[in-house]
Amino acid sequence: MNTKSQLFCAWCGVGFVVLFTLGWWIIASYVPPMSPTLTSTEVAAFYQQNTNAIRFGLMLTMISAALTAPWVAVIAVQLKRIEGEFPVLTYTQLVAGAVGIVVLLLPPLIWTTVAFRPDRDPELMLLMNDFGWLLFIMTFSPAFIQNLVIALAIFSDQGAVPVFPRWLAYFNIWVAILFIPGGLITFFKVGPFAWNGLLAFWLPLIIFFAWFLVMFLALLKTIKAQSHTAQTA
Amino acid sequence: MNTELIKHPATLVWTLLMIATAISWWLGADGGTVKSLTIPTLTIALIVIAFIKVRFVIHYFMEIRHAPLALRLVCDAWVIGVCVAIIGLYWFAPTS
Amino acid sequence: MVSSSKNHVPGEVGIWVLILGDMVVFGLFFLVFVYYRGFDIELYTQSQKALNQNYGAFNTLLLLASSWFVVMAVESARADHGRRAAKYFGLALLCGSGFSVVKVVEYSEKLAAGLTITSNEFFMYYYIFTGLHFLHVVIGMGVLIFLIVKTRAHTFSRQDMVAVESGASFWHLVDLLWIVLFPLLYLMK
Repeated sequence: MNTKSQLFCAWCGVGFVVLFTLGWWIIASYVPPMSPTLTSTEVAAFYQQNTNAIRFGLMLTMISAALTAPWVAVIAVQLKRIEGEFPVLTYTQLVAGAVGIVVLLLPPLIWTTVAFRPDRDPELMLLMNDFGWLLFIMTFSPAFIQNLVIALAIFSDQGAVPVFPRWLAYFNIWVAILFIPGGLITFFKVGPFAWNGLLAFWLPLIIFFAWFLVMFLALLKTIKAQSHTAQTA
Repeated sequence: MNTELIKHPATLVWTLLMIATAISWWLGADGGTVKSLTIPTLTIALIVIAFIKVRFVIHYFMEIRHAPLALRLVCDAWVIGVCVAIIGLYWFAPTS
Repeated sequence: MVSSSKNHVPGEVGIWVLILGDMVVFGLFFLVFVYYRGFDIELYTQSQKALNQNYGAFNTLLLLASSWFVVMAVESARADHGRRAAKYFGLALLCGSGFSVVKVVEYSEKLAAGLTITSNEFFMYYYIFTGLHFLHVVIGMGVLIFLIVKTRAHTFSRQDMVAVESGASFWHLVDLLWIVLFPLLYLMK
């Protein structure tokens, strides 16, 4: 049994949340999010005033993205216990989770490009800033599929001792539904469905963190149970 | 159709829900002007009717009336909380 | 009868994570709508006039009827009448399909009249809230088909009641959310 490796991977999820919050939220101060209605000079001012804090915060954000790799892998390992020999849902989760890393990695890089030359033409900064935000929030579909296949895998569990409780499957479906408003930010610059809005940003963000917390606790429980069974067997 | 089934309490509830919908439909039609109600009274009546309907659905269709106390309380708290909050936000609207 | 006990959670406990979770989120939707409505009541009441109340009301009746059919289906299943349960679930599915047809007709009328998701605030909420609800209708219809297959099967037994009750509860949620959306979007002044 590789209990320690599995626990390490699960803790990487916590590491991601902490480092991501520190870098993106606290140091680079992208939260609360800037309004999509900002003019090019206002966007340029954002990057000119805190240039080094933004650069450093986004660097940490990009590092945090990689921590989701072991996290997605440990979820896959536990799902594979359910699926056995032909783990299609497990693979789907792995692929969707891998795309998730890209979604977490690229927007900070795009914003970094803006912060790299803060004396650039403000119109270009506006364009790249938009690109970063849209890429970050609108790309909910891989996470959506990831949540759904986790739910499907849990539903398919026929074992005497299920790997995950069934309510976790329903929780994942709920999370998937809540990510959908993120896809609507293309239409709006103000209101709850803009990229800084209550229903397109704040709610999915809180749910995103809640998902890590709930999945982390469920993973700890099932890894420990798996280790216990292996020892007594 | 099975007559024994039709006697289920849900059938009576369903009839009441259909009538309540018809009343709401009538109340809300034509901009609500033909009725002798003021606009706030009309709107609050529509919202209260809706949440009474919701409570019937929860208790009789979803069978929450037979559920453990905690689940019953959570559902009722949702019904009352959301209903009161909607009416409050409506009543204290900045431009009314 | 299962339902006569005073401590029976309908369906499996897990489904209530989803049902209550969705109720909380839609509750938030309702409050957001009424809150922002308060800042421009004129716009909202004017825009509401473009909606066809008859579609909204007829769809409410369809969903209420479907919910009643689902209750009859659950009772039939409890009495071990799997085939009868399947028939009632089929009738509920028919109502759900009716709802969908009305919804599609309604959307296409609005779009043909040039009313889109970006027309104004009211239509933003109209399209997104009814759209997310419609997603629930579609998922619910999938659940009903699953239950029809399950109850029709020769192997149907009371062991399958948990799945039947869970699916039924989800369908009632679809009904419940529409009951509130209807007066908020179509009727309130």
